[in-house]
Amino acid sequence: MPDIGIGDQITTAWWPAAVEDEDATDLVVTSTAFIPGTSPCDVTFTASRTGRAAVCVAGNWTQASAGNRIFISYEVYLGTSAAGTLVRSARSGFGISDNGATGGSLEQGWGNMTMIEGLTPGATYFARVVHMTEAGTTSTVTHRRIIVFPLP
Amino acid sequence: MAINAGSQAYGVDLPPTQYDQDWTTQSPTTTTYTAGQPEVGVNFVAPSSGRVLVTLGAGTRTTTAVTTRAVVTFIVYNDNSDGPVVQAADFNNGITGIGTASVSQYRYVGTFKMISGLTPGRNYYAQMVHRSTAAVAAGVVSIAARDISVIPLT
Repeated sequence: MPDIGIGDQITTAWWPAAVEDEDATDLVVTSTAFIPGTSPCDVTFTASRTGRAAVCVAGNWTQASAGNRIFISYEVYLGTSAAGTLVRSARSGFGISDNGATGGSLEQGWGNMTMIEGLTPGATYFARVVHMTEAGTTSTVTHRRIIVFPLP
Repeated sequence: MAINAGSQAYGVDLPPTQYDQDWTTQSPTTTTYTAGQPEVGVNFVAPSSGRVLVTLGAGTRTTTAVTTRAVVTFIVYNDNSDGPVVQAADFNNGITGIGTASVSQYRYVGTFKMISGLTPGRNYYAQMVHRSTAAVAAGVVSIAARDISVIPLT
């Protein structure tokens, strides 16, 4: 892929818009499988001509007791909703995990970024934040964010 | 302003990514945001899209068994730190951590936030700021290795 130079013609599929969503709803995390929760945090985006995009996930959470880890990740579907074909399933390694802070329900937060590739240029995709716990009901997500932007 | 099919790309479409970093340990003692010493921040030009990605990195710890945490986030100003605030300091835009639980060592993490609606071609200043979640004595809450990048987005 050539670099973009001054005066070059830009077509939409080259550099579609970066998108972001965030949600500050407190969600008690009880599921031991990745779920989006009752207050979604998601985006729809257009794949660039390279078929590559960066996905950033960030969050804040509390844990009533240290031990059971919380996981925050994301999944990507073809189309405008989770009804489409799943093209990137949630994995703990594509997100964030934490096992809580000494002292109880202390809010902590940070993020992670991964690349997805092999997307169909110009196609519309749906990406959403999902979360889970490995056991127990000790965690609450307090803030979630997802950003998707095209990569060269 | 979106980049549309057939648009001409000018120099401002993809202005440079900016980065700043410092290793000096910070030790916030209050819940009021401060830029610290030295200040970590970058001047940047907004791209045609008006959107940029702000990435933050920091190591945070709490040295004794207390519940206080460090908060590291950022402010975006027009022009410089004397200018109008475009993006105020927000807990949810930053990093919050108590360090590793058992031995009070730094935990180094990063985070990401998109800023949109910037005026294309305009100069902005993104400044890292930090605070404690409660008033503590100096040295209880510490921050190491602050870094910030601002990357133009489409």
